[in-house]
Parts: sequence; C-alpha cells; structure tokens
Amino acid sequence: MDFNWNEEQKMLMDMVRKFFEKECPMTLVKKMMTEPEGQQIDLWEKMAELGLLGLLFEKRYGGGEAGFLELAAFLEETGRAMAPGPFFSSMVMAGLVLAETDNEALKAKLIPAVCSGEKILTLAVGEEDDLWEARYIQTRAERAGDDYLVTGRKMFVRDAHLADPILVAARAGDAEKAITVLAVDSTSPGIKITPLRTISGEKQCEVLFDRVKVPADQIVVQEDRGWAVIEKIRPRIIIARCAQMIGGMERVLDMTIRYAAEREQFGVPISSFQVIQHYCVDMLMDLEMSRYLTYEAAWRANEGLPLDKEASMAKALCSDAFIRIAEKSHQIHGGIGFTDEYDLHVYSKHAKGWELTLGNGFDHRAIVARELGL
Amino acid sequence: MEFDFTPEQKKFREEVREFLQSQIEVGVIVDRSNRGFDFNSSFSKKIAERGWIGMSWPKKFGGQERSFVDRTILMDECLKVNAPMGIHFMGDRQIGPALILYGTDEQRAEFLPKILRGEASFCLLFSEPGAGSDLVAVRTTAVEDGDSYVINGQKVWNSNAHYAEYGWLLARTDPDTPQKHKGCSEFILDMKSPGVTIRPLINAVGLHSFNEVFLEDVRVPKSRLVGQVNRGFYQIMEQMDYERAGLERLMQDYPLYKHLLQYVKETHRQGKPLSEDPQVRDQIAGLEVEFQAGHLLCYRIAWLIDQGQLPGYEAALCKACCTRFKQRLAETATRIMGPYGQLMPGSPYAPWNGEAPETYLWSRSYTLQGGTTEILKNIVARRGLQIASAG
Repeated sequence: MDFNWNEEQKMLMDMVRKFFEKECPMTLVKKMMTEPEGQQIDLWEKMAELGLLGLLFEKRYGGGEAGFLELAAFLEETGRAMAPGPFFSSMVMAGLVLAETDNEALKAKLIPAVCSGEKILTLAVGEEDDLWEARYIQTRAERAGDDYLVTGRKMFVRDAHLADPILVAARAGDAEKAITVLAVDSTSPGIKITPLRTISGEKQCEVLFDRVKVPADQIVVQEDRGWAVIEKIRPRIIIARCAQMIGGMERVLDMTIRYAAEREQFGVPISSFQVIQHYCVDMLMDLEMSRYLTYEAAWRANEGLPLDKEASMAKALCSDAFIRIAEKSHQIHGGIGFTDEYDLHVYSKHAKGWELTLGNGFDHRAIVARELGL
Repeated sequence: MEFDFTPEQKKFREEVREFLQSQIEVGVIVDRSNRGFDFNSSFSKKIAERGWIGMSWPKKFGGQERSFVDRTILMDECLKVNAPMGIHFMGDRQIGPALILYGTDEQRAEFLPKILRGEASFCLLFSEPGAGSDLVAVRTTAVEDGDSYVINGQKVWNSNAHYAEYGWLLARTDPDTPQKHKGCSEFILDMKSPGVTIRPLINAVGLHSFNEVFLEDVRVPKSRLVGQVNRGFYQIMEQMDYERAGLERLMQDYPLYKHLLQYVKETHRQGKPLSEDPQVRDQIAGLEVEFQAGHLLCYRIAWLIDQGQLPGYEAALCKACCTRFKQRLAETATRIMGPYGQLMPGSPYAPWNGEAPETYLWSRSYTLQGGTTEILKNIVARRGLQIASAG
C-alpha cells in the first residue's frame, strides 16, 4: 500500500499550484464566473504551453502520456484555485472519449488541437438529467445517405458556447444501448446553443439539434460500442470531478483556519473557542474521508480496474462533504464570508453546483446500493 | 499511490480466512457483534501457534517484524467474524509494544513470551471517578516503601478486570508537583494481589463488561514499574496513539452489518423486499460509503506506522470517523427493522436474536472509550490543525 502521491506527482501539483497562484488570482476567477464567455485566452494558452491540456494523451499527438493519477493531481489543484476555463470539458470529458475512438483520422485531427488548446471540445450526453443512462437518451442519429442527421436536445452541456466540435451521444438503433458518439461541428445549421445561468458560474448550455447533418467520418464511436465507452468514461469523469472537489474542500479548510486564528472577539482569536475548533475538525473529517475514497478510485482508474462502485462512493461523499464544509466555513466566517469581496462564496457556489451535477449523493448511493447487490 | 495488497499479503489474508472459517465450523466463533473481545484461551493459543500475536514486534523480542498493514489484515479478518480475541488482544496491541518501548529487560523476559503464547491477559486501570477525559487528574497514589510501591485508590470502567490476570495501572508517584502530568507512573499489577477488590458494574446493555477496582494498600514490587518514574502520563499518551488506530474502532459490529444486508434482502414489507425500498437502499449505501472511507483511514494509519511515523492526530481523527460509523450502523439497522428492531435477545421474532438493538445499546460507549469524540477533536485541532487551544 501507499497512500501518498509520488515525487513526480508532488512536483506536478506544486508546479500547478504556483502557476495558478501567479496566473489565476481570485479576481480573475470571480470575473470569469460572471462573464458569459468564462474563458481567458491568456491563461488558456499558458496552460497549453505547460502541457497541462494534453496530460492524458499520447505523445505522438502532442500529449504528456501521463496516467490518471497525474490527471487527478492536476485537477485537485484546479479545484483549489477554482481555475476557470473549459479544460474539464475539453481534455477530461471529450478527451476521455477521444482516447477510446478507433477513428484514427479524427484522433489525429482533434487530439493535437486539444493538447495545444487550439480547439475546445465538449461532450453532450445527458438530457433529462446529468447522470447518463442509456434508456433516457432520446437524441437520434439517423442515417441519410453518407451522412447522419442528429435530432434532439442535450442539457447541461459544459462550455458548448466555446466548443467545436461537440461530441454527442445519440441513439442510432432501437436497442437500449445502441448509442453512437458523433463529433458535431457546432457551427452546423440546425444547432441552437442556449447558455444557462448556473449557481457557480460554470458554463453550461442547452444544445438543440434539429436534423443536423454529420458526415459519417465524424463518428467517434460506433453504435455497437458507443454506450460501452460512455459507461467506461463516466466513472472516470466523476472521479476527475471528485479530485477537483478535494482541492476545493482543502482550500476552504485552509481559509477557515487562517481566518479563525486572525479574527478576534471577546478579546481572543475565535479559534480559541472549542466550538470553532470542533467545526474545523468536522471539516477535516469530511475532507479526509472524501480524500481517500477519491484517491483509491483514481488509483483504480489509473490501473484500469473496475471502479463503478468506488467512483460513486467518492462522489456520494464528496457531494455531501463539500456542502457541509462550505456551510461550516460560512458559519465560522460570519458576515465577511457572505460578501462578494471575500473568496468563500466562490467555493460554496461550486460546492453546490458540483453537488448537483454528475449525480448527487442520492444518485450515487443508488449506484452503490446496486453494486452491493441490493 | 498503491491501494492493492502484495501477493504475500493476499495469501496471508486467505490463510487467516481459512483458519477462521474452521473455527466458525467448530463453534468457537459465533459471528455475532460485540463478541470479538470474549475470552477464549484455546482460540488465543491457536492464534499464538500461528505466530499471529506480536507479529509486527521486533524479532529480538519474539516478533516477526511484519508490517502493521499485515497485522491490520489479520485484524480485518478476525473482526469480520468477531473472533474471540479477548485474552491476547490487549497484550498484542498495546502492552507488548509499550514494554518493548519502555520496559526493563526483566519485564520483557517475563511478559513478552507469555503474551506471545496467548496466555497473558491485561485490563487497563486508568480512569477514576474524578479522572475521565481529564486523565491527568488521577488520585490513586503509589508510595515507595522498601522494594515496593504501595497503591491506594479507586479505578473505574475497567473492562474485563474480572477476567484479566494483570492490570496496567496509572498512579500518582509525585503528589506534590503542581504540573500534574509530570507526577504519574505506570505499573503492572497482579490482579490477584491482596488489597485488590473488583466490583462489577452492569452496563446499559444489562451485561457485566466493566468494573470498579478498589486498591487498598496493594503492594507492587518496584520491578513492576514500567518506564520512568513520573513519565507515565506521557507514555500512556503515546500508547493511546496505537490504541486509537485500529480497525476494531470500525468493525466491532461488522457481523451486524453483514446481517443487515442479508435482512433487507430476505425481509418483505408490504409485499416486496425491504431492499427495494429507495430509502433503505440510500441508508445502507450511506453506511457503505462511511465504512469504506473508515476502512481506508485505518489502513492508512497502519501504513503510516510502517513508514516510521507515529500516528498522532491521524489516529484520533480516524477513531472519530470510525466510531461515528459504528453508531450510525446500529441506529440505521434498528430503524430499518422497525418494530422488530426493538426486540432484544431472547425475544420471539427478534431478528438475529436481538443483535441490532443490543448493538445499539453498546454503541453509546463507542464514542466514549479510549477518548471521547470531543477529546479526540481537541487533539486533532491542536496537533493536526494547529489551532490555538483555549485559555
């Protein structure tokens, strides 16, 4: 057993932390949360230059050929910094699907562009909700000569306003799991992208497809394997999100401990009060339990082991734990934490947004129950 | 990171499992919650014969220098079926390591082989009526007299004192120092010594598990003083880090967890299995999440010890998380069983002969013994988060 990051992973985290501290101050994070675009080109290009956008991909496409643990290490730091930009959509969500394609031409075209940041991709699967079950996919891809016509409605599609192409999961046959994934040019006629206004400022959109023409060579994964790929990457995306949540929780705890030591009432720092100390320890208990469930799940992803249950355990706990941590932190911070100027709300908004997307505690406990054979 | 066990560790786990299975078949293990600390001398001897006591101790003291992760694997399997470890548990976990750290050569020669043979049982004589969370307030005195110390005082909450051969005693050797934590020492006490009176306390479960121990002019040879005079409190605090770290804080009721999973699958309410009720599924999955997180934290403590680190706040944090799970398990199990969840052992229709409500009653003690959750949180705040302490 080994519960620690290795030296290289620690160096990566240290590098990324310093990078965000320098290039991504909270003023920028807050600005991006409220701006419709939510993308700062300068930061994006610098992330690409450092190779962060290509971490997972093969070297021959300009990637870093790192493992899933390195990805998790990087993402933990993005959560700590609450770094804006479409990296989660592009390199994680779409990237994990692209890594599974056997469409070599598409791979050779898209992956280098994802690594360099030149192209931003995203993945559109969910419709009714954000939990992705094959039976709820109604968007259809119908054969029309050499092309497909895609019709349907996708919800909560991250960064769709920036993305091109959008990887879309669509029904190509009558069987429940006959789902294909297509790379849809987002400028195609028949696409309508409507940005949503989310609690965290995370950029999500409704994307409507009305007989959108997609050439057959834009098929990322055929219908015989499409849903298997989605099922394979879904827990990985969930763990990736958990890694961000760990970073976010850790930052909130740091912020809270520092504030409690500085803030004086009744002539003493409020950290001298046992109730404040115990709140902080409650936060640490939540963080540490979430941390090791997440790390084990990330390790399983890294090793290619089955991980549906582990990913869901991690997300079930992270979802609830981040909320509890944020709420306790607000209580300890008092009025200052309720101001726009202070940084805490950035984290508590993401705690709520990330709780409710990619499956909340109830959703993931339902999966855990299933995995327990109930 | 590496969350897998080595092939040797997996093989070891299998070996332990097979042995325990054989003990279930002959009825030595009853696979019921809260039976893991029953005294069973033949079982402890069998464990000893296999070299499973003191396995992580140094070789020169009769151990095998195996890792704490290995020891945790052994505990994991024993706790899953609540094998009766009462006799050897305390010596293996706590007394042996403490003697290795602080004991004299004579003490080691006398006690370690006996512990390793599964024959030495110990109870702890720490708490007093006026010294609970504030352990340093102990008033029991140990006064030098020739080649002995003479002990006077009263101890309380002493689990298994009515079975144990020896007591591990904390007493005041310097009554005058204003710094109370610098005036205590540790002793090994023969529980059969003249002047030792053990009075049973019946706990809220209705069982005799712990006791009051009265000490009246009890003579303890000086050779039974452990470690340095007046350093006893510090020594205990260090041992506590080991005491708190184990899987027993998580899995003392593991049989109930297994039985609960079986119960919801087999029990029908309103025409369908309880396991199809979304609330039941949610509650049990919530338990599983907490259990697996606690399980990882325990193995992490073992791993930290293997890395040469003394778990301090980590062990306190781990115990706080694990005991919370154990309490939630009993709360959830009784609630899911509904009116059947109140049927105690011996009652007709009691699922698993009342294991759930019995465990529920036991579970009040889990967040008290070995440091209350509140004391643990103080430790974590001070040592883990470096938050200024009050006053």
